Amino acid sequence: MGAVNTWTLLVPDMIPAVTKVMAGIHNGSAARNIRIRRVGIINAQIVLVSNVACLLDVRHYYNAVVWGGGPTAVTPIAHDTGNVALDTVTAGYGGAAVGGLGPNIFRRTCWPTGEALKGITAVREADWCTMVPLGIMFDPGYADANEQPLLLKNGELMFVYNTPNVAFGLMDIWIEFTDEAV
Amino acid sequence: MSINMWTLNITGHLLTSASIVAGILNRDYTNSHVFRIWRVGLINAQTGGGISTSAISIQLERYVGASWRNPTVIGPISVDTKDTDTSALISGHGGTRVDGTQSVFRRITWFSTCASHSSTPYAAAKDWETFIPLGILWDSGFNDANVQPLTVRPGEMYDLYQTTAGQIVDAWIEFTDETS
Repeated sequence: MGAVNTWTLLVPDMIPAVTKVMAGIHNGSAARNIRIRRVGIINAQIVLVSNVACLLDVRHYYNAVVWGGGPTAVTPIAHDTGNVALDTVTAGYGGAAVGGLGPNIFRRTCWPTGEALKGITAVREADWCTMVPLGIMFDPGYADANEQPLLLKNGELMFVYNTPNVAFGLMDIWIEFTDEAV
Repeated sequence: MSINMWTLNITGHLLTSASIVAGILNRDYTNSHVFRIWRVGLINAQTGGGISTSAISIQLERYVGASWRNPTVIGPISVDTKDTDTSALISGHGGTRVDGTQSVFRRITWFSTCASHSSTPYAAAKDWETFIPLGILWDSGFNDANVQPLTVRPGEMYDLYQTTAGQIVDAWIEFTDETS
């Protein structure tokens, strides 16, 4: 099988907040499978700010879950402008899961909210968090044909979700996913 | 079966405000060439001292239907010297992009002051940015045949674009040239 139609959802400049959906994808199509290939975070805060830790999950909801609460839509970008348009995919941030079952929490990471000033002395964690390879938080199945990526069937949803009451920092969150026929 | 592969290697690009750090434009309107971008990376190339420090923003973006005026043309390098035809693309840095529809795939913060590689126990972020693996900012499809790389169709341009001024950086784009 050759490369499958692939998309990137980039949610830029997200500020964490208590129990906030930072980035997510919902599949509303019975004819398509969405597979989450990789999820990454990049520190985008470059102005001095309080440095506290937020706690980010990769969460999966299933069994006819609805993405309610008025999520803010962000349009995913096709890796190839020749890709067929996505069918009934909701992507963006905010809102909440309604109904269904879950969450299944696949991954959690403690993420700093401090600025990446990248001073000329010792590197800080916030500086490390600007490097793309170090911010990949979820990638089952990527580069390994023996592993399954996370599958979103019809009526399933995945989030990057922040739990604690943290209101500082800026981060870009990216989700790389493929769109295939069932 | 491997496909004709090239590397665009931009060395010593001075990060002036709002400039194209590295770019590829597919200008083949015979539909005989489709380029696929497999990896994109940055490397801190500033070695001189006394350079002011700042965090700058660089983004990987696509423009559909854009033209590229007055770039500094840098030819890509083939990994196999039998591959010589680069007439289907414009590659390089600088210049001005005109018109087109933008999509931003990734944004990063980059620190462009001199990599001192000092003997003190602590490395700063600018020193870590000299390590090639840490500077890879895009690699979709690399090592995974299920994932599409970025596809550069005729009339499309992909570039690394900085939005704030900094110092000197090397940038590289690894891509293949295919017929469809």
